[in-house]
Amino acid sequence: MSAILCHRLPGGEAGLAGFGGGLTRPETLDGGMWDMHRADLLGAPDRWRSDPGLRLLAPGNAEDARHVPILADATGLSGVERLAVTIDYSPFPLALVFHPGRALPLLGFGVKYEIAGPIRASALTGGEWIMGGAFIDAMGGGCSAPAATHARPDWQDGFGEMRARLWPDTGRLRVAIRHPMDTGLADGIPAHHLTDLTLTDARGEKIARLEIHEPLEENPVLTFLLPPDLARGPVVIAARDTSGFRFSGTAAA
Amino acid sequence: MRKSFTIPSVSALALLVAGSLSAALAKDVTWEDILNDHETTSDVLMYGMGNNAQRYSSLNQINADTVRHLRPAWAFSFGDEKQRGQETQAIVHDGTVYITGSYSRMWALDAKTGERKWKFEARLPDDIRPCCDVVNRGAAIYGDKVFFGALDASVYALNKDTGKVEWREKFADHKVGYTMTGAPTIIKDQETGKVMLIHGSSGDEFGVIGRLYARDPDTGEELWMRPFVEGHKGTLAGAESTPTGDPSAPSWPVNPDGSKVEAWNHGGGAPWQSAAFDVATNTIVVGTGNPAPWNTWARSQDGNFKDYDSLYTSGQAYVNPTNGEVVGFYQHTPNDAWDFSGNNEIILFDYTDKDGNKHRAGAHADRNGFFYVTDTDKLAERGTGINKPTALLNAFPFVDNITWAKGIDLETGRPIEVEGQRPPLPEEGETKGATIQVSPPFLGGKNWNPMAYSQDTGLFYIPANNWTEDYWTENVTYQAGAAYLGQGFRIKRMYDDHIGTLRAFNPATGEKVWEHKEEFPLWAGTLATAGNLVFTGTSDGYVKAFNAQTGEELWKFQTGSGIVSSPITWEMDGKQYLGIASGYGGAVPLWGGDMAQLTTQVSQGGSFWVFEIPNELLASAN
Repeated sequence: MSAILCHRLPGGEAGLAGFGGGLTRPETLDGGMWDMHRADLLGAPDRWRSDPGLRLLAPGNAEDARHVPILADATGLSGVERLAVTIDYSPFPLALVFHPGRALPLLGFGVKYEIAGPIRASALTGGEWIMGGAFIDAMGGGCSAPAATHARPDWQDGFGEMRARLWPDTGRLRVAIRHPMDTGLADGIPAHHLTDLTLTDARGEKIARLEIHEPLEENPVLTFLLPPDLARGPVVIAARDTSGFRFSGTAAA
Repeated sequence: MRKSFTIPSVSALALLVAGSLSAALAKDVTWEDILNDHETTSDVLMYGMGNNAQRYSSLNQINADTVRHLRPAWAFSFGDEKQRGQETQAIVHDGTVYITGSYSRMWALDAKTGERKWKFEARLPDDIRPCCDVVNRGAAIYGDKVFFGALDASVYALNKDTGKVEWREKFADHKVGYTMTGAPTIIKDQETGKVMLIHGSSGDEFGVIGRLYARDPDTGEELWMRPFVEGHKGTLAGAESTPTGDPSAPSWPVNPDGSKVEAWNHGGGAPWQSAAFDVATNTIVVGTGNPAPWNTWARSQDGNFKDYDSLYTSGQAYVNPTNGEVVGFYQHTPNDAWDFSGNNEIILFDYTDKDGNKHRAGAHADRNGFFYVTDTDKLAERGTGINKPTALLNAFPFVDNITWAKGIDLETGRPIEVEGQRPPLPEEGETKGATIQVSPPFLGGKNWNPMAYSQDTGLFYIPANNWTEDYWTENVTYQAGAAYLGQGFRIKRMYDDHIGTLRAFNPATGEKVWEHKEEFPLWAGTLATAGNLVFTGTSDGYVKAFNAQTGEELWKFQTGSGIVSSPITWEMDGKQYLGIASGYGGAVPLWGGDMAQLTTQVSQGGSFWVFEIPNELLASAN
């Protein structure tokens, strides 16, 4: 087992300890929608287990149901093909599927929470699913409330703006995109959300890919971790959404 | 701990032109399918039901005898509380109905059951500026994609099987008034062998330059763009191309310093309805919009309007698809002072004149109240001057009491104008000019709602209106994104008993063969069939069938909201179906003045209705 890397993010070991180390207690999470989602969303794997090599950091209570910060760290596992994030009682249970490729299997993001319940990150490695999860208490309503931007006269002002920063000493890459991430559940506002985001290197070769669904928060901020050979960039970030809008930008150290 | 030597990197929004070529599926739409659309009865692939836009079907299972048995097969609700006007025409392919709706929405429905296959809803900005309701008139289909325009001046290509966006191209700034309401069409340029998606812009009421576009249907890439204001430059293959017509734009006046007047910069001419395609001459045929502003004096030189025609507005344009050059133009309303526009559809047909001579011709019922038959071959001829007023074969009035012109001079091709019918300028110190009465009003003897041509009767079926208006000028200054008219108006009744009048005309003699009056304005398209029938819808909610020869009303069905859409018919598993959208809206309830007494009686709606003759009744009818 390789080292868990989330301690290298701001807050370090102390931050990790604050989340109980992000370790999963499988006996408290073997229930809810897990059986069904495993069958429907993860391709009916017959075997699954928890593993200290996969940590999921999540707040015990969602202070803001429209912004629940999550860090999924599978760097303690080897050969992670993909990392799927599911939310048990969300109207859209599949939140993200991360294909780390040449990036490390670590992803920071925020989700909307419609109702209290478990969130899970499941890593596929060697034909086996390893699940890390946490229970989040929430007042809820995050998926059915209109995006905050709709309180302004025109959601298109600043729409699609992208900001990114690359920290070459750690390989941390943070990407922020202005996007309402509308789920279609708010009155009179059609679904309009990002569907995928890719990272490519200077030669145009793919680093990583992220499939995005409705639960990702409005104006999402994503954290990736790149290995040393990619940590100086440049990294090309490209995304698209359900309405065919395309966004791109480049981050370099 | 943060390191201070890290360098932030900044990235900006970029909307990329990115194409995606999907794998061909078994039932993709080919150019041959589209080319034959006007003859094949199992599908409806084009707005206008074919390149010639005739809206004629050879189906006759539903006919003058059996139509009384017509019953609803299914209905589909557009939902979403986004009702408004449904001005769409459905297309049908491979057992699927594709239908667009208000607020830039689209659905794919199982043609047999009405079950929804997918839905697409464009996310529109809050500051779109459609002049005349949030309508959409329909889609195009080619390959594995369906195409339609959105109100924020963008075009979408969706995968026809999944409804997912394949590409989206924003072609102009919606904040200054550009929008798109018309159905795009598919053509094939025989010179290059390229299949092209042809679409126009809308926005004449906001003083934008009307443009026609050709795109690669696979990628959305713009192949060329042609503006319809004389002297404005187009594009070709991503670079600036030629000016439209004379670069010095002599049909637009100049300021004392020799520069062009303000109106020239905002000249209108938008081809917001759908183009027909003349395969024989490889020519796109499309109507151009009204000049901007409406106020004639802003486009006249010191009161002289006669020598300033405001080209290439309010006429019909013939465009070479290879390079986007205009090869011919016929102007219905020179220096249009009344917002007559020239947009209405041009139906291509084989015309036999009074003397028995045959011509390949275009038929057009203009908002100005006159029906025009033009010579397609002359207008499509290359290497001539663009403006061809003598390419006229016939012209006659199709509505009552036209005041602005006595007629169209068949020798010169120009209207014989009545003096005093151009709204006069305000007197010194006044903000409004004297009010005059003009017929038809700007909403037209016929508006966008398309007529049909029956190959059996040789008649055109025109959904027309008899009405009039008070007109006066106002001072006008251009402000981006604001209405640019310089004119005020109020629509009024002409008769107590009717406004709408469905009329059958003989194009050679100008004879009105029959008419059917409607209490409400007619704002729905028409369909002629070999069953000796003409179908249309009424603003008070009925879909109706008429005897094509006599005009007798044979059948009607109440759909629950007003109908302002175009009917279609197709055949599936040996049965003929009729499809039409219901949902009241459009320009009349917004701008109709005295029509409000009528239009406020109509409930909002949004649904697609399909009719059939039930099997047991079909058996008994035979």
